[in-house]
Amino acid sequence: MYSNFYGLTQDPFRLTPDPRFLHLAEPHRNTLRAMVEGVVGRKGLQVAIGPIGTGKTTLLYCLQHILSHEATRERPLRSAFVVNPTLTPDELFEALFDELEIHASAPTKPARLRALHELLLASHKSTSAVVVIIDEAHLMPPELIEEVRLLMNLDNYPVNVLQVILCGQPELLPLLTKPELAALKQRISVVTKLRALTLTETRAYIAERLHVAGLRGESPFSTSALEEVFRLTNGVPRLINSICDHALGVGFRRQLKKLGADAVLEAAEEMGWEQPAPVAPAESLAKTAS
Amino acid sequence: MSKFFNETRTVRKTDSVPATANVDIQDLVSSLKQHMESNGAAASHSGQIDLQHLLQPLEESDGVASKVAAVRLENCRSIKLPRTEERSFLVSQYNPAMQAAVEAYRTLRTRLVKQQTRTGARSLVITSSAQGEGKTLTIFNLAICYAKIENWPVLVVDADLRTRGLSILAGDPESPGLAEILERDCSYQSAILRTDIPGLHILPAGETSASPSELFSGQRWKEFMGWAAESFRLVLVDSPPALNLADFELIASSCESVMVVARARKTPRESLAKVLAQVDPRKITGVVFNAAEETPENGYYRYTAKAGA
Repeated sequence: MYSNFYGLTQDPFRLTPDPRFLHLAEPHRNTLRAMVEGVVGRKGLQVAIGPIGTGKTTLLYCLQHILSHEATRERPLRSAFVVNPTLTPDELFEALFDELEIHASAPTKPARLRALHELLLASHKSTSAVVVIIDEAHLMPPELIEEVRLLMNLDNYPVNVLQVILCGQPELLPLLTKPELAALKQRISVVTKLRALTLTETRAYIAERLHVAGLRGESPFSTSALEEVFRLTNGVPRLINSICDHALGVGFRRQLKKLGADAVLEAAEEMGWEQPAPVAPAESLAKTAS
Repeated sequence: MSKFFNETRTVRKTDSVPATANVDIQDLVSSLKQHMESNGAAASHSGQIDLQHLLQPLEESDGVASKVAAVRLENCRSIKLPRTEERSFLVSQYNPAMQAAVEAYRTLRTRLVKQQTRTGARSLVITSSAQGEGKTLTIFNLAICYAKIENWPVLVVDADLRTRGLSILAGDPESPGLAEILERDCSYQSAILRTDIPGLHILPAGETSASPSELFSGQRWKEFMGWAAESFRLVLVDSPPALNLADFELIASSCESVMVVARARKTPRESLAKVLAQVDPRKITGVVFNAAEETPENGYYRYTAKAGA
């Protein structure tokens, strides 16, 4: 609604999983690049951690999206995305097989393993890969993580065919150091960490997003507005997106070409944010957004 | 090869006792292994996934940073950096005898890039305890090394309004410069200069009769640094010596990181310690040990990370 008023051709703060239409902040681009390189370099098991709202799930969708662009008829690149891993081992298998579009001859474990084997063999022959992405992995019970390791044991090719990415909040790392998961820990080849943005990164992120959305002149955010955005969000990208979006809405209603700190505060009030960075409301906000 | 593989499998199947599902998997695994041994890992390398192609959207996204800088400075003046002078500062390209130094600057850049990725800092002020320890030389060569990275726009700011060393090295361009930005509402675009090195911009010191400490204590310096760090991926600030002048602390307050240059056999240990004690320890990026003796292990220049914290 405010796009025309600010000379924008598209919505600057919307999230889409396609990286071609998505401008990520610098640390996130680096993390995503590391993950893509990890899969293509066949590193096997990767772990990615980051605090709430820093964009883990968005990155994983981007990763899947980027990889799916590489899939061809001759070289299908299969990927499975498990969003909620609070499952029993059986349910995990069911979810994985659904996602990978493998049809086992019978719903028994041996039949499923055989089917997976065949997929791995086919992928190996076509120099392709099978990617398993597990989000919110910090919620996984240890026996389920162990199940993932056993799954990876099936893959005994010189170049790993099965690529597993465990992604979760920072609690995931201590979870993986438990003695019963020592075998899995040894297999981790890449650990990527996401962090929230600094003040200048926040400013640069907003400037770059506005540029991508078509802005060519002065930024509508004044320095004081940007500092307020940072103070309210602590540099968490999800919160930055929503407050900037609302602040531009406020500016449009008041016909302000340049936003001050007050417009940002008004936007925060509109959204019912307590000050500063409200962690809990942000979480519920994200759920409705996704 | 797959034909061969299928055959071996068939033979085995007929030979073996009808198996349970589990045994079948073992069977499959061992035949897979056989297949791989005979097939070799060579096949797996042919037609590998094209990483470059996959990373393309991300690289395009990276390029936005330089586009923002380009759009914001569309109409700025351009200068050609002087290169033929005796005291050429462009060590990196035009003095083959200084290859060790070039290498040292590159190493310094690489370490800073790594640190930047971790801390997210986009502005770096370089200082020393006294005049003539190599701040300006370090800053210039570092900036040139940075500008060589694709999509890494760099701005070099001459904040030493008293001696204007960096501006003089850059050919003493005409005003306006930083002083005019701080003193009155001078547009950033009219003061910043595009150089003939792609990705490298310079803001000369400019001219003023006001006291530099006064200029840096105003809100405009903070505003400018905020704008600069959002438009460039790195802003390098050349500051006056840290001891005995109020300027440095005012300058550093709007920068995210600080690097100190010390010159071998010149900088007294105590002065270096004093400078480091002045700086917020969270901001200290490292100390550049300039003009160190050349030994087989280290070149002319050496960089010690995280010396002061």
